[in-house]
Amino acid sequence: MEEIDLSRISALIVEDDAGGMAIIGVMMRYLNIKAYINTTGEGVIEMARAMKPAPNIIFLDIALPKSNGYDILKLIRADANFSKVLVIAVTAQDADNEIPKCKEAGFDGFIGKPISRVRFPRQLRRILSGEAVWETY
Amino acid sequence: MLRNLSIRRRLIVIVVGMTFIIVMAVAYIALSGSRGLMRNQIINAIVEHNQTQANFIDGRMQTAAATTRSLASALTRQNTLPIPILWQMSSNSMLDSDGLIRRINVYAPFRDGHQNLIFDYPLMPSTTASFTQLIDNKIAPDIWFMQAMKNDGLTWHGPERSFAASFGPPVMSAAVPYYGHNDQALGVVWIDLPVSMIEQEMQKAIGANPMGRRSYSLLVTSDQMPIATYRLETENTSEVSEAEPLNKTQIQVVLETIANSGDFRELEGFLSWDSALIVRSVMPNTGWQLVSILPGELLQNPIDSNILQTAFVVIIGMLAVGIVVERIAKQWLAAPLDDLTAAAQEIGFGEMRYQISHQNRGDEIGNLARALEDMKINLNYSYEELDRWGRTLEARVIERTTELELARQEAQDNATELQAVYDASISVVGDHQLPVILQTLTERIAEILPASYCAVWLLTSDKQHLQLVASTSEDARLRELNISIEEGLSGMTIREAQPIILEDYAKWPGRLQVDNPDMHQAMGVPLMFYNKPIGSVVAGRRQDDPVFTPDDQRLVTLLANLLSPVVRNAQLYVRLGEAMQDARQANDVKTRFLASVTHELRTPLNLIINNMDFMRIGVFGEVNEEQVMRLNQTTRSAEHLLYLINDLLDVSKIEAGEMQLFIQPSDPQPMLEDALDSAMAYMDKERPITLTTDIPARLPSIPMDSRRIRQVVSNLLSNAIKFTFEGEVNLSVRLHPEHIEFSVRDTGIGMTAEELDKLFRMFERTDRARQLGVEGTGLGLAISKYLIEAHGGELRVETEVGKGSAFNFTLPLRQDPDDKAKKRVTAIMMPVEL
Repeated sequence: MEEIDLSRISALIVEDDAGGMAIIGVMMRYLNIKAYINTTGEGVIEMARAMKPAPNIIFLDIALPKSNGYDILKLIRADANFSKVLVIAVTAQDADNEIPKCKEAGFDGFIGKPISRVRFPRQLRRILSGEAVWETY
Repeated sequence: MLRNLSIRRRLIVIVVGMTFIIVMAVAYIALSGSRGLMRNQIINAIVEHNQTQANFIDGRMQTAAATTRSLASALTRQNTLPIPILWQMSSNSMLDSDGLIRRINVYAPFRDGHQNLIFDYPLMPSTTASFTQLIDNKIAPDIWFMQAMKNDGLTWHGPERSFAASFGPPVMSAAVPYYGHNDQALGVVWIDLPVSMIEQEMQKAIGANPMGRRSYSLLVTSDQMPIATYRLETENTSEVSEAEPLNKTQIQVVLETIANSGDFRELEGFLSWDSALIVRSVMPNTGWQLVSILPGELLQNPIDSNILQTAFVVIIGMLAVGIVVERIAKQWLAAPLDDLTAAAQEIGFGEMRYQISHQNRGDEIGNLARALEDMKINLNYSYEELDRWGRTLEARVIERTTELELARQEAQDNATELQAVYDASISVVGDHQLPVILQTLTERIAEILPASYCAVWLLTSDKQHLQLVASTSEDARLRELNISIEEGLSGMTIREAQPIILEDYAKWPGRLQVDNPDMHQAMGVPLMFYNKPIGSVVAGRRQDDPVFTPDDQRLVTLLANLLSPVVRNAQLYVRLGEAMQDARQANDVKTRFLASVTHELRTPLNLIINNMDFMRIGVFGEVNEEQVMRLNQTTRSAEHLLYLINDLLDVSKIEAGEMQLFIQPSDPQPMLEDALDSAMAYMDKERPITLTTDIPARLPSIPMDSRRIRQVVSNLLSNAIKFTFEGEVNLSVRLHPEHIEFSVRDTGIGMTAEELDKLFRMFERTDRARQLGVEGTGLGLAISKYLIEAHGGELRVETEVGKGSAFNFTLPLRQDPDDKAKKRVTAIMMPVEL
C-alpha cells in the first residue's frame, strides 16, 4: 500500500467551512497532493473539467450553503469523464445517519470530521487502492 | 411339498414307490442268480456237445486202431508171415473204414538194425506169397519207430507226410508192435490215416450236428500238435473242410488260451467276433483233443432278451398296485374326511341341524365324527345361552339409556350456561380497545340474561363520578352520560359494592331521569378489581319480562368478575401506550437535538485540533520544546472535548435503543492498523513503555461494524497506555474455530476489586485516575461493552493491582440473524422502570 506515490494524485475539494478548508488544505500540502478547493458548491463540474491533470479523487462536503453533496455527486456521475472518479464524503454530521445515505447515493467512501492527522494518510492510501473506507474520528 | 398333497395321493406315491423298489430289488437278485445258472447250463451244454462230437471222432479212430491191433495180433508168435491172412484182413478193414485207412504197413527190423517194409497194403502186389524185403532201401530206425516198438500198445503218431508217397498228403499213423515166441518185439504194424479223411469224420461229427451257426474246430494230438481243422459256416452253404482257415498264429493263440483252463474258456475279441468260446474235449481212447471255437453270442442269456417283457410286466403291476391303493385310500380316508370337513363348515356357519355321518365307524374316522357331533351339540347350547343373555342385556341397555338421557339433559343445560359465559369472555378479551371491549360485553350480557337493556359505567379517575362507556340503547342521550356516584342504580351499586336487584324500577326514586321508561326491572352488579369497585354493570327488563333471579345475578357477577381485570388491563395498556409514545417523542427530540448540536461542535474542533497538531509537528514553522508541550496539551484537551461529544451522542442513542450497527464482512487488518495509528498518538516520549503487537499475518474477513470495533480497540488501547507508566502495552489477536479474540494487556497500575466493580458504570472515573491526572470521559468502557455485546461477543477483564490488566473481547465468526445474545443489552445502559 505504500507504493502509491501521493505526489501524482490530484484532488478536488468541495468545502464551504473556512476551518475545514484550512485544515484539508494543510493536509494536502503536508502530503504533497495537488489540490483545488471549491468553496461554494457551485460550478464543481466546470472546475473538475478545467483541472489539469484531471482529479483522481474528490472530497465532497455534504452540507453546503446553496446545494448538498448528494446533488453534486449526481452531477459528477452524470458526466462521462468523471463517472469513475473517487468521491469521498467529508462531513461532521452523524455518521450513523449519513453513512447509509452516502452508500446508497454512490459515494466511494466517508471520512467524518474532524479529520485525524495521524490516520488520514493511511485512510487516503486505502481509498486510492480501491478500498471502501467509512470512518470517523 | 409332500405335506400339501392329499392323503390319497401321498399313500399312492409312498406305496407304489416302495413296491417298485422292492420288486426291482427282488427281480435283480433273482435274475442275477438265474443268469448265472443259465450261463452255466449253456456252457455245460456246449462242453457236452463238444465231448459228444469228440467221442464220435474218437470212436471212428478206434476202428482204425482195432484193425492195427488185430493185425499185430495176427502176426504175433507166427513162424511165418501170414501174408494172405494179412491181405484179407487189410482188405476187409480198409473197406470197413470208409476210406479212413489209407495204408497198412508192416515193418520188421534186420539184424543190422534197419527196418524193412515187409507188407504194404494196398501197394504191394497181391501175389506176393512170402516174406520178402519189399524195398531195397533200408530204413533207419527213427525215434517214432523205436518208440512204437517199445510201447506195449497202440501208439499214435503224426501228423506226418507219409513215406510211401513222399511229400504226399499228411496222415496220422497208428502203430502196434508184434512179438515173437520169446515175447520180443519183432516189428510194428503201421496204419496211415489221411488227415483229410479225419477231417471228413470231423465234418460228420460237427457238421451234421452243429452248435450255433458257425464255429471252428481243431483236432490236436495229446501233445497239442494240430491234426486237422474244421470250419462250420452254416450261413454260407459251402463247408470248407480242406483249407485251414485258422492260421498257425491263431491256432497257437487258441491252444495257449485253453491250455490251463480246463475244458472251457471265454476269449474276448477273436477274429471278427466280440467274444469267442473255446471248448476242449479230450478223446478217451486216442487222447486227442477236440478244441472248438464258438461265437460268444451263444452265451447270451435268453433272459436278457426277456428284459423288455419283464419291464413291461413290472409297470403294469405297479399301475395295478397304484390303483388299488388309491381306491382304498379314497374309501377309508379321503371320502370320509371330506364329509366331515363339509359338516364342520356347515356347523361353523350355524347350521346346527346338519347330520354328521360316519359316526358308527370304530376307527379314527369314527372317533372324529363322534367328536364333531359332541361339539355341535355344545355349540348349539352355547348359542341358545347367548341368545338369552342378549335379550336380557337389551332390556338393561334400554333402561340405562333412559337414565343417561335424563342426566345428559341436565348436563346440557348447565353447559349452555357456562358456554355463554365463556363465549362472552372470549369475544371481549380478543380486543384491546377499551370501548370495543365494553360495548361487546354489554351486548353479550343483554343477549345472555336476557335483558332488554344493559349498560356499563366506569369510575372516573377522581373516583367520584361515573362515566357511561357502553350501552345497548340507541338513545343518544344515554350515550355520553357522566353522573356522580350518588346517582342512579349504578352509583348505588358502586357505593354498596354489592349486586342490587330492583323489581319496581319504574317507581324507584333514585332512577335516572333519562332512563328508558320501559325499564321496570333493574339489576346492578359492581365491576370489582382487587376488592375495589371500578365500575358497574346495569341491566334492565320490561314489566312483562320475568324477574331477575339470583341466578341471573350470579351470571352477571361471574362475567363482571372475569372481565374486571381485562378492563383494568385495557385501561392501563392505553395509559402505557400514551406514556411510551410521549417517551419516544421525547427521545427523538433529544437525539435529533444532540445530532445537530454535535455537528456544530465538531466542526470548529476540526480546526482546533488539527491546527494545534500541525503546529506541534512543525508544519507552520519551528517550535521549541515548551511550545511543543503546550500545543500537545491543547490538542489533547480539544480531543477530550471531541470524545465527550461523540460519547454522549453514542450513549443517548444506546439509551433510546437507536444505536445502529452496520455489520458486514470486514478485513480486521486495516481496522487494527487504524486503531494502532491513533494509539501511537498517546504514546509519550517521556514514558518508557513499548507498544507491541501479536497479530497473525492472515486474518479472515469477520462480520463486524468496522468503525465501531475500531472504536472499541482504540478505547482499550488508549486506556492501557494512559494507565501504564512503565513496561509494555500489547495488542494480540487469536483466531479460534468459532470466534476471534482480541486482547489488550498492559503492565500498568491495575485495578482493585472495588474499582473493577464500578468499571462499566457510566460517568464513574476512579479517584486514582483523577489523582494521576488521567483524562477520560468515563463512558468509553460502557460503550465498548455495549458494542461488543451487540455483536454477540463478550468482554472480560483480568486485573491485578500494581501488576497490570488485560482486557479481552471476542467476536463471533458467524452472525446468526436470530442470535438472542445480541438482543441482550447490559442493564446498566438501559434502566427500565415500569
